[in-house]
This record gives sequence, C-alpha cells and structure tokens, in this order.
Amino acid sequence: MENFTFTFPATNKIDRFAHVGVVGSGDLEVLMEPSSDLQTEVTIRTGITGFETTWEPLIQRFFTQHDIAAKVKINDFGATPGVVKLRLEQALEVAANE
Amino acid sequence: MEVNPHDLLEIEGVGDLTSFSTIPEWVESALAKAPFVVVRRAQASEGFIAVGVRGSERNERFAAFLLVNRIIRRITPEQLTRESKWSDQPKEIFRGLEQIEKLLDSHSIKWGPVGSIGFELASGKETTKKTSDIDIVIHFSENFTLNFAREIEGELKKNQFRVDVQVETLEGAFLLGEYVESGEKPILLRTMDGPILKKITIEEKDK
Repeated sequence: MENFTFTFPATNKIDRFAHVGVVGSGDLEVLMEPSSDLQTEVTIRTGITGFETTWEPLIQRFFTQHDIAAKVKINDFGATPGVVKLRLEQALEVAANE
Repeated sequence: MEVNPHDLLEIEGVGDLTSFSTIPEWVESALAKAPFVVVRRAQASEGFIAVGVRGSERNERFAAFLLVNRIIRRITPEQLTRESKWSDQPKEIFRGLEQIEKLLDSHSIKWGPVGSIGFELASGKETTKKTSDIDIVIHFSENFTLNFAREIEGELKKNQFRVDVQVETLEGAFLLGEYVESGEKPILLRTMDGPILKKITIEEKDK
C-alpha cells in the first residue's frame, strides 16, 4: 500500500460532500469534502505501487482546470488514468451541483 | 478473427508484441511462464489487437499490441464456463466459482471468469492468491432491470469470496455494484474509446 498527498492553492468553495466510484478492480473511490482553507489537499491510497509520477501530472492538471478548495481522498484499485479523470469529474459534479 | 475484451490469447512470446514504450524485463519472464495476453478494451490499428500482459505483482501490468496473425489460440471467458474447467480443481476459490455457476445458470445468464481466476483456468498456471477476488463478466440482456440486478448482487454477496462483476453491453461494460447503487444516475461505462458516464435504464416489464 502506498500513500501520497498533493496540495494546491485554491479559492472556490464547493457546496457539499461527494462520494463516487466503486471499490473494485480497475476502479477507484473519490471522496470530496468542502474545505475552509484556501487550498486543495488530495490524498491518494493505492495498492498498485510505483506510479506516483503518473498520478502527479494527472492530479495537477485536473485541479489547475478546476479551482476548488476541498479535501479529496482517493482510494485506488488500479484504475487507468482515463477512469481517474472521469471519476474526479463525476465527484465535482456532485460536490458543486447548484 | 473476432476478439473481445477479456479474451485470453496464446502467443509464442514477447517477440510477438509491439509497444510504443520500452518493454519491462518482467514481461518476458511472465510470458515464458504462461504465454497468454488479455485483450484490452482499446482501439488498435488495422491488423493489430490491443492486449495486456499480466505479471505476478499487482503493479506488473503492461499494455501492448499484437498482430492478429500471431494468435495461436483464443480462449473466451464463456468457453471456460462451458467446459466447467474448475470442477476438478481442489483450491477453495474454485468452490466459490461453483456457487456462482449454480446461481447464474439458474437465471440462464451467459457469463465467464476473468481476471486472475480466468487466467489461471486458461493457462493452467497458478495466478490466484489467498486474497484474490473472483472477477467475472456477465452479458447484459433485456431482463437486466435494476431489481433483477439487485437480486443477483445480493446472492453474489453471500459468496465467501469477494465477487467483482462486469456487465458487458454492446457499447461497453459497467460494474454491477455501481448499477445497483446508481439510483438511475449516470454510471461509468468502459468503451473501446475510453470511459464515459452514461445512464443505464431498463423498463420493468409486467409479469
């Protein structure tokens, strides 16, 4: 099991807690909660070791495009980058739904 | 030759594979032990198939392409089911698979084992571990209403092993667990062109 955290400055609040995704092979769970700090903190837990350099640009790109102040937890079970991105978009849609 | 995601293809060895990135060392030894690759859900150029190589560790997965004419043999998940290849296997995980077989056969659902258990059955090489889940794929049909899916999911939860179910539709595959919990919201559909979010709804028929 591997754990790593990325933080980015952020300004926009999100409205509510979101939980999307599935615990299961090739997928992941995303938990997104509003944060009062002016930053996004993304913590990734994964059983597939050795991919920190794949995660970093992917997460960075997403939170550069979407400026949100949130605490994000990702529990990964070997999702492809395409699935990770889609799950993050899905979580954001739930969390920021007006 | 028609191939579908999850099919296992027997090849000669690493020399049959083409890749844009450097082929890691473990790939050659993995294929020397069990010369099978799995068909990935991805597009490939004419004459090629997108395949994946499975190593012994969870972080050992490698995406490559295979020339169609290099295929020695194709084994589909449904073929493994037709042959009930697990009936004379002593390992406990195959008893779990027997329970699944009984359940799905009683509902006339077309299905097959995939992932590590499918690989072990096709290749004859030990692949599952004590902690392995049972991965299966089942074919979507018009009967697959939310209620029916819920019933199947409930029965599968009684299995002593964790059962991961992918449901195959013509457009792509989704996870049974996500469909059951979706409450008719869009769910993740894995297609040949990548994952998309899509609403899956089947009208309940009057009985």
